[in-house]
Amino acid sequence: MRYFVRRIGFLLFTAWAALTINFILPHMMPGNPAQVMLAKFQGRLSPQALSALTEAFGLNMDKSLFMQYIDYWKRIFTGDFGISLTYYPSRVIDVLAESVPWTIGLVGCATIIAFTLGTLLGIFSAWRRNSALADALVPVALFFNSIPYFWLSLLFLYLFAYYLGWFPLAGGYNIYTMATGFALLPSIIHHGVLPLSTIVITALGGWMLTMRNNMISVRADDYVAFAHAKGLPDREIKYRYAARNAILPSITGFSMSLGFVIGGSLLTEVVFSYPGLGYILYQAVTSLDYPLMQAIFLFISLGVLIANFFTDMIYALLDPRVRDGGV
Amino acid sequence: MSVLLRVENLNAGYVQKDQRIIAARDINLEVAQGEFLGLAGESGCGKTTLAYAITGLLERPGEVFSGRVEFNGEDLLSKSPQEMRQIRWKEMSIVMQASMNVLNPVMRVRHQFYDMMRAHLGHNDTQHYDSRVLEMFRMVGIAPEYLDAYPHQLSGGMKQRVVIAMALALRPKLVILDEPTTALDVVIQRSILQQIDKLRRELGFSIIMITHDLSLLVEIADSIAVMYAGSIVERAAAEELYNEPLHPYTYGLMNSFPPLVGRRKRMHGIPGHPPDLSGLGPGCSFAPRCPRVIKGLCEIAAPPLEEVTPNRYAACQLYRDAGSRTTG
Repeated sequence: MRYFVRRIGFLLFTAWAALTINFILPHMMPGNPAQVMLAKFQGRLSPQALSALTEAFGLNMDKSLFMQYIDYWKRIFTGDFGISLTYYPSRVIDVLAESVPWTIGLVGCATIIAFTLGTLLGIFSAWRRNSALADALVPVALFFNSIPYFWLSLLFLYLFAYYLGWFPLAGGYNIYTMATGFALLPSIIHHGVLPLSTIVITALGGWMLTMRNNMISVRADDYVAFAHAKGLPDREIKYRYAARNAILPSITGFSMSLGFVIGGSLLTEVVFSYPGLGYILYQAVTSLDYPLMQAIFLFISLGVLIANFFTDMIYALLDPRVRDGGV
Repeated sequence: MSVLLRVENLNAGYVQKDQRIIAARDINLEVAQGEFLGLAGESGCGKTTLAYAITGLLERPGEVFSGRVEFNGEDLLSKSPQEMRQIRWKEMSIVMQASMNVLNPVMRVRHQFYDMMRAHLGHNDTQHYDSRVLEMFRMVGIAPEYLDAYPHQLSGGMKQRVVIAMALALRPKLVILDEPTTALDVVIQRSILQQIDKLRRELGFSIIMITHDLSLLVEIADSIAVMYAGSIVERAAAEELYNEPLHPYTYGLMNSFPPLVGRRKRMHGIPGHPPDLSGLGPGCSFAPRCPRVIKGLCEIAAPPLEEVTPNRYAACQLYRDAGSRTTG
């Protein structure tokens, strides 16, 4: 319980620090988003409109920095992140609400699949060490792990979508259909297969190698030898003794990457024109859309922090030593 | 008393780049029912390899090369891993060297008893398990509330006793203790060994205890086998060995430890180091360190383990004539 309270406190503190930095950074950057906007509309905006925009973006320079900081917190709690430049005049919050589910769906699924599959392969490869198949998995995993994922995306896009025509070239679903809700699911899956598989294939190897290494060192631990001596069935030793302990370090990596899911797999989304957060971020950066950027960064940092918090909780659940504050 | 374990001409060791390193050489041993056999020797002399070979725990690159292990009338070396798994722990259990670390850190003690019992008893009657475990806890002197503790919540001595309780839980016929108490301080060491010995008398199981501490064995074991460089160099009843060690190595070992009782003595130790097992010559492996070496004989011919006087065995050129007289 004390552990839980301590972790909550840590979460709140880091969240405060991250959000404050998120507030300070744009103010240290040269230029003013409103002026960018003005330039974009090439003089078709009146000075009145400009000051209205500045107000809307929350960049009113007349107020003191402290008052702006207070306003910033107010806006966070009300979900008012201003108006997007790129998707003018949509509100930032609406742009985010539209893209976040796509990213969580795509990158979240890909991360979970890659972790599960990679870990299982790692267990197999370590347990059957010295057999031809298990050892062959290592160079294969290294190979796929070293492939840049955007390059694989391009390759898959060309091969399976353009050349063979099995999958659509872009987008998250068929925009020419009238279907909504669950009727849209087949189309979503059809669009998701390629981006998902590129992420899974390139991420899988890392999880496998990590698990394999952990597992091999745990195998040599005394409690595994003792489990053999106790005459336990091989399966039980493999999962409840070896893998159960070997997975602990992997869990950390896994929750960290779950945190980065919010940030999306930027390049994958760009290559496949997937309507996720990564794609939006790319758009925001190229058109200097500060309000949108700021909101996305905010969500990414919150995502990482919350994922960290859940890692700590899961860790405490899996490892009694952590719970007691021993390690 | 009937023989429980008979080891005949056992050779076991490790394979390294197609080369065999024999860590336990031509081992002959017998353990009677209820007997306490001590196996003594320096680190790296093959004691643990021998224990693992007997229990079928020797894993690659370890291997049993030849010989016979007969346990309870059955040939263990011809058993499949599956059959060995059934025998291990139910019929013979082993308390390993590092018993501070042999408990799974993420499992409660209770469940580490349960999984072992489930594997061997073939039922899942946890009430029956509990009563057995608590009985064992009482025997080794651990309070019942530690049943739900995690290993890191126990002290070193408690972990040790939990492991010993585990080793006795299925009432095996043979318990192998591989340096069971090296990590513990002397006071706990003694109390644990006395508890084990008391349990042995009550329950009638046999013990093979492996240690480098010969003085300890002299006190509690029935008989002692002394190993050097993979071979048994002397075998005798504990008292006889203590009163009159035959092999010069045994003599040296006896003088390396202060006696727990009796007058103060000057310590001698044995000069030199045990040989590398991969490069043993044709002669007696102790010859280079032996104070009573017979030049021109010991370096050339390795003496076999022979009966010197009734029930006293030694592998030493010093006693060969006497040995051939009594056996021949």
